[in-house]
Amino acid sequence: MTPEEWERIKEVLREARECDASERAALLDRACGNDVELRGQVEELLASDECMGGFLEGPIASLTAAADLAAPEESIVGRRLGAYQIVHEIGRGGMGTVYLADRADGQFRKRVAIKLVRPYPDSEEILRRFRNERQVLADLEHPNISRLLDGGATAAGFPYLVMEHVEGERIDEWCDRRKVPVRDRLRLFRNVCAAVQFAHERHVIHRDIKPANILVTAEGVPKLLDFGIAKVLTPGTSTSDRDITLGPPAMTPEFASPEQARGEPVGPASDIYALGVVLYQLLTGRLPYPISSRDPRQIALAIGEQQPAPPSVAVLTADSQGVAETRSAERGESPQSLSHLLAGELDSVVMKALRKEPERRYTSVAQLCVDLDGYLEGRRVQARGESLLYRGRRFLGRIRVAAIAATLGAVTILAIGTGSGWFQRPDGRGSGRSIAVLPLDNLSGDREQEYFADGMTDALISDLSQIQSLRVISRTSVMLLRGQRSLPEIARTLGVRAVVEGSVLRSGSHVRVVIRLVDAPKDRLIWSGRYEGDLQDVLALQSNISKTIASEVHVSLTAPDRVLRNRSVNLGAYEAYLRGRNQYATSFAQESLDQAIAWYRQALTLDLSYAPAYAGLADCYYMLSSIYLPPTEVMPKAKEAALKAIELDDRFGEAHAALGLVSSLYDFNRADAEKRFKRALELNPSDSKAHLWYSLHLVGLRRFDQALAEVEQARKLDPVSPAMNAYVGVVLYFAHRYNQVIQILRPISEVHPNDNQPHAFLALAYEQKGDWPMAIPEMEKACQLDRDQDCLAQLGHIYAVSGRTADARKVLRELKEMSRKRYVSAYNLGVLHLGLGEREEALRNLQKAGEDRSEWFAMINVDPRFDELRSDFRLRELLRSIGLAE
Amino acid sequence: MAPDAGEVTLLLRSWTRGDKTALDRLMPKVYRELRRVAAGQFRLERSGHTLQATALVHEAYLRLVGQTCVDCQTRAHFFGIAANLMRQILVNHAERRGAAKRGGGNRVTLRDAGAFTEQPLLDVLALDQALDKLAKFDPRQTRIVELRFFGGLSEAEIAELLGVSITTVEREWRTARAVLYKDLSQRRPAEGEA
Repeated sequence: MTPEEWERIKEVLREARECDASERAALLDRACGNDVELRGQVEELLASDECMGGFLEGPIASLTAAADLAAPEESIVGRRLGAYQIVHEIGRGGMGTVYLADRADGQFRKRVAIKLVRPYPDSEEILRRFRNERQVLADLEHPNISRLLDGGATAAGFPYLVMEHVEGERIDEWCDRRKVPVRDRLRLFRNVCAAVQFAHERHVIHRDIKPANILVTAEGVPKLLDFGIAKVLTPGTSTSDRDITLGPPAMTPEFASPEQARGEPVGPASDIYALGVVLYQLLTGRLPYPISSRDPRQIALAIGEQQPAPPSVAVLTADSQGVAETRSAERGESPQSLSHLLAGELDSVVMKALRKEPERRYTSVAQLCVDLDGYLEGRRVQARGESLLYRGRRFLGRIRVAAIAATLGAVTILAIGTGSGWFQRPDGRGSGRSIAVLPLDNLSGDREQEYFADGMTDALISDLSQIQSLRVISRTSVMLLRGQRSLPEIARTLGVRAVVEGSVLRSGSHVRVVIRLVDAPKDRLIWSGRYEGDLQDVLALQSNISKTIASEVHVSLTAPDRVLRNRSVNLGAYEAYLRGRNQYATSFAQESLDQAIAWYRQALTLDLSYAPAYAGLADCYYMLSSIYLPPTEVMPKAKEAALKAIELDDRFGEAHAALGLVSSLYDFNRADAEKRFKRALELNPSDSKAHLWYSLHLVGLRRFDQALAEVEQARKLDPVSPAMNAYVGVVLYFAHRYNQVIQILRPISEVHPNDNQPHAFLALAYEQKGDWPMAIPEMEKACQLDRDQDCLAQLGHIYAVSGRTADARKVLRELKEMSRKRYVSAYNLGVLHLGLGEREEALRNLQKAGEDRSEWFAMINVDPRFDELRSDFRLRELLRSIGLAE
Repeated sequence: MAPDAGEVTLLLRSWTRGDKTALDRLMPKVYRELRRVAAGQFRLERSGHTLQATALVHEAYLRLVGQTCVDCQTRAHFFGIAANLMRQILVNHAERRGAAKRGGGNRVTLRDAGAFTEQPLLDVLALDQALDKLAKFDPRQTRIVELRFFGGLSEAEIAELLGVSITTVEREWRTARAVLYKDLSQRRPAEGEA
């Protein structure tokens, strides 16, 4: 090969590496032409790229003869180590070889396992640590833990550890071979957790939990091996920090937590993560994510970044480790039934244990046990609703107003309209009817089917919402009312007269829906109907119900009302969509949104032209934006999904609303946003979310009165969602009407002291009035309740402007620290710098906030904290350059 | 500190300033020191201990140059020399071991102890030969492998030392790995390695 040829190979190789795999062949055709030799060379190197993994990547750390590593048993089998006679080799792990041995000193006969530690740089150190740990480990007497008995060093200086010998089979293989059903797997796993919890209470962390370390005995008892071993074998651990130690050099990447993979200090949370991976594997038969590379940096990256699919989604697809049918058969289910079983609570439990940030996982194994027990006993699982408050706040398009737990009517700031009349509105125009669809009961006796009943409720609400002359109470409000109070009370609370209630019974592919339409204030049945049919026809059935209801409440169906249109949809796609929607509404935690996205994607793989799934995706991406991920990462995806939904069905209001939001908050294209929101509300006048999002848009444009009118509309549609009242306070804050803010939020914050947003906006209003003694404790309280980035920036700003500079700087440091781990909006940093009087830094951050489309940036013209900066020509220039100048 | 300490620092400085003869005087000293540190390690190895090649280079550096020398250039140059010497030492050692054990089928191998789990063992001599082959058409890539793999230098340090951008080092390193991987995996079956 000539130097020129080699240069050419490198050049083509470089291009090929940079282009997509799909375009590679075309590129090679182009670049190599007829040069077969060149192409062969490049292709061979590309193949090496694929399979070389971490070849030569790790620093060369040790040199040793293969003989020394590979065949120590020649010298050791049959020999004695201390009081033990080595019988034979049992297995090999990352740290050494394990042998079966008998206690041979004639006192009593006992089988043990001896782990002979791989040649190690410092065996003295290992022995010293062993002596330090010995008592603690010997005290770990628990039926599910195999104890460490003894330790020593061979004549040649190899350290060894003696452990209770367990005769058993790996937990995953044991379960699969016996086709153990899910519930029994959970019970088994629960015992494993009990062992880990026991050890944690004694400050012992396992640090290498994986199926290979969990054996099930012939009696069906799980035993956890190697407790404390990782620590003894880890260099650089002091004796004082028993709870937190440095990550071991030998761990199992598939089960390592993100912090462990990064080599950071490891605590109980890492064990909880590993338990999550084990549970994932027990439930689905596969790992949360494949780890192909052996390069520590790649592994750390993969573990830190990859979002696993929720178990219920994972079981539907095949991967390199196996096919869906086999895996589900090993659990006595079909892929579909297994997926149904896992969806919801089990998904949530697993995903909570697997959260990337240790502080967001279960706080202890005990908490994980509570949820497992809850599931097994049929109670509700904590991991699910992160709290109503959290949901509400996300629902509001994230001006972060806390929704307040559903104590109806506890605070009525703006009087809730009462019974707007059966046949006419109080204003006498006579064109309006109002109705609420209460959550349909799930009669299947299977809580896993709840998503289906909820989905049905949701679909009815959504169908009816499209009828122009009908006001339909939103899903949030009706869901809050689930199982509460009498119908007359509900009617009064919601301000409606007509209430739809009923039940859904699904058995296999057969569905029966019973619907009652009630004149609620009088608790009088107006009409009832019973619909039966195949799941295949569920949409037609739904549409029939909607039409009947509409005619019963005497609203005329005008031509565009989509209720009349019978869409046909792939059944699997429909189900996946319902699950996604259910997940989305369950909680707005990141993993919940990820699960919803996975479901929507699943729906789209089954039916590429299913517009609602695209609209759902757009919503999810928006919800992830700013709070969890940079807007530049997810907002373009939201836009793409919304556009796709509109392309498929131009009359889909939700998609227009989502697009409006993207235009307003991300593209800063306000004219387009206006158009989109109007269209959304024209198509779907009862969409409370669209009203709220539109009001956000209007606030940014200083059109406060219109914004308040939209909030009022939303509030009427969602009268029970307590966040609505508080939301008025937010609009008023940006309108610089601080006294009114205080007047509205003060009582809310007192009745609901545990919701952080009323405190936060109260504090902001006091801040603008210069009332520090009121502002500071309120904001501190808010931060105490939820130390998120917005709250922190607000607190820092108040400290800064009230003269507590040192405290403000402390908060600034905390925010910067946070920004290393997750997205922190430059807008928030800008706020804080400005508070500190650092104009340059503030402007620099604002510049960045504009560039990365920080969500709050759309509020820049009305945010009171920037009033002082507004005359600065640099800010004006910046706003002009991105089209936000007023 | 080693007997040659101080002098080595001076030689390194003269060399970086362009005095070519300094290198000739420098090499034997570094080599001697590396061998001295390694000898102790090799003795331990027979009782099952491992030789930490990168640690060895660092130790030699500390003994010869000391921690007081904060001059990055000097440090990088030292590692540049030591990386190449380290390769020689490892190969010599492997050859001697191979000679002693010929017939037993054992080849001296490197194991990446920094990895989490079992790695295929790596044949030092095969790697050395593959590197020689690579040197014929791309000496710079060979140098990068030496610095990175045998010397434990970071990509940034290598970029600094060779006067190229980090991106170039990354790209060349990746390509070199691919070439070596290809070479080693093609010869592997022939020699019946596990």
